Amino acid sequence: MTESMATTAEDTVLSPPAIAAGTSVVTARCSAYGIEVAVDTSDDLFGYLPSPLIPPSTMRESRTRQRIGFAFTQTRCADGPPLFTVAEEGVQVLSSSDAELAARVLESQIHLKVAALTDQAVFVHAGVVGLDGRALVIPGPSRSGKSTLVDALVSAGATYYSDEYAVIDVDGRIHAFPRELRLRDGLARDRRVSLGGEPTEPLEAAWVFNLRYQAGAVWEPKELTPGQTLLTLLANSVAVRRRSEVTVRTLRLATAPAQGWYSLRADAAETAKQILQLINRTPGATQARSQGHAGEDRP
Amino acid sequence: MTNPCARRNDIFCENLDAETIVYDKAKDRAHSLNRTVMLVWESADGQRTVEDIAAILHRELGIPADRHVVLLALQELEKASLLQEPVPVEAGPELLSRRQVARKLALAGASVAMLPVIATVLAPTPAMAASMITQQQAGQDLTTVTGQAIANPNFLVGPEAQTAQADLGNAMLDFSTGNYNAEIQQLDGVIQALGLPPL
Repeated sequence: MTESMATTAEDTVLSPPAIAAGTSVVTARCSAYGIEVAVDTSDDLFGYLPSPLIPPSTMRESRTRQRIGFAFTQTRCADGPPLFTVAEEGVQVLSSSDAELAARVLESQIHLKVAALTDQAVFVHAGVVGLDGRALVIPGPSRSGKSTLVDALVSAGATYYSDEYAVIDVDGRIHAFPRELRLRDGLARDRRVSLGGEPTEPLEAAWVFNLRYQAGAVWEPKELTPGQTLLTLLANSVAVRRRSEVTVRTLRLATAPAQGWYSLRADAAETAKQILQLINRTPGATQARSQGHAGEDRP
Repeated sequence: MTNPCARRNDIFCENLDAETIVYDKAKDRAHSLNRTVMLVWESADGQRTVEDIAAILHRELGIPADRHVVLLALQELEKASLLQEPVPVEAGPELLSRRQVARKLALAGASVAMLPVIATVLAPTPAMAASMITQQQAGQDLTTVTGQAIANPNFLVGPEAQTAQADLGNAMLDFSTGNYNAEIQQLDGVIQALGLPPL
């Protein structure tokens, strides 16, 4: 199991020089997964920043290998609403009249940058919950319904690990990435659900669900081969092009004990029930293999 | 017909129990090959004939020494760009469909699981992994929200009118520049400001 529970993400407010005359500027810093993130912003926007900038990590911290700078600023227009701008290394990412919305984009960009640049773990876009001490992983990009499904599984008794990334260490264990759960119905900013900020123990993956939302879809789970299960995670891996060999090796370890499933799905609450029923009916990949009926003979 | 020859440059493999992951760095694709097609790929060295490879399949996997199984595997490998040269086999009696090969295997008492199978995925860039928003989806969302916003009386006058108008304008700008993630965030802003139904 894990060596130690080390919370490494830590915000520090410094007293930086001002960006513009008359504006008080602060810099929030956070370091995790070997990446240091700095966000230059103003006093009045500081409260919009996610805290911490990067969710706490349960992995052992190592030296910071890379630094990345963001800016979150406000421009006042005489004849219109103020504009809130997010920039990464001086390049504008987004400009919006909505501060919370811009802050959300900033948070996503920070997390994506950490996921893309870190050498300490493999980041897979996925929702993750814990069930009986094992991880259930639901890979999928943004807007694929991960958060809603994670929320439904948590409501059904599962433990929240992440609704954004499965963080996989070199031994193939799944670590939590516990940001506040965001749901897309209406606007997520009003539906933040805090589900405990404490890092949780890394888990072995037991189930990988490759699900596609389709209104009115019939739940018809088909078991995936180990190779298909690995490809399901690889297709959602953030840095696979940069670290292809490490990623494939890590995903092999992560999926070795897991059972993969594919299905169309409809309503999240109903899908959560169906997933739990399926899990209760099947022995899990490790047990199935030890009984000698998994792998090549699957359809 | 020239002997089949596998492409091996810019490629690495990771073995699973009954499959092999073949990662193509040149094309940023990952393939999962079952045992049959993996054995064909490993054996395709430009020296061995199709019949030689069929004999290897028979010896290693116990399936009939049938060139049609090898040809089907070579077709799959060619589609996955895992051969140096296309296999010059003309359609017709030389090529059998997957179903016909499956039938031949079944008649010979071999498992249908021995049929050559390759599953392929594109290795995403970080941005691709982050979002599934396509241009088409982004365009549909923009059309939907624009229509609903214009029909909403609060879009022109009301406490959130300025915010909604600014966000919609930014969404259109983001769409026109291909920044679909930002566009969707802006549309969320319009939806929130006007109390529109979610996308």
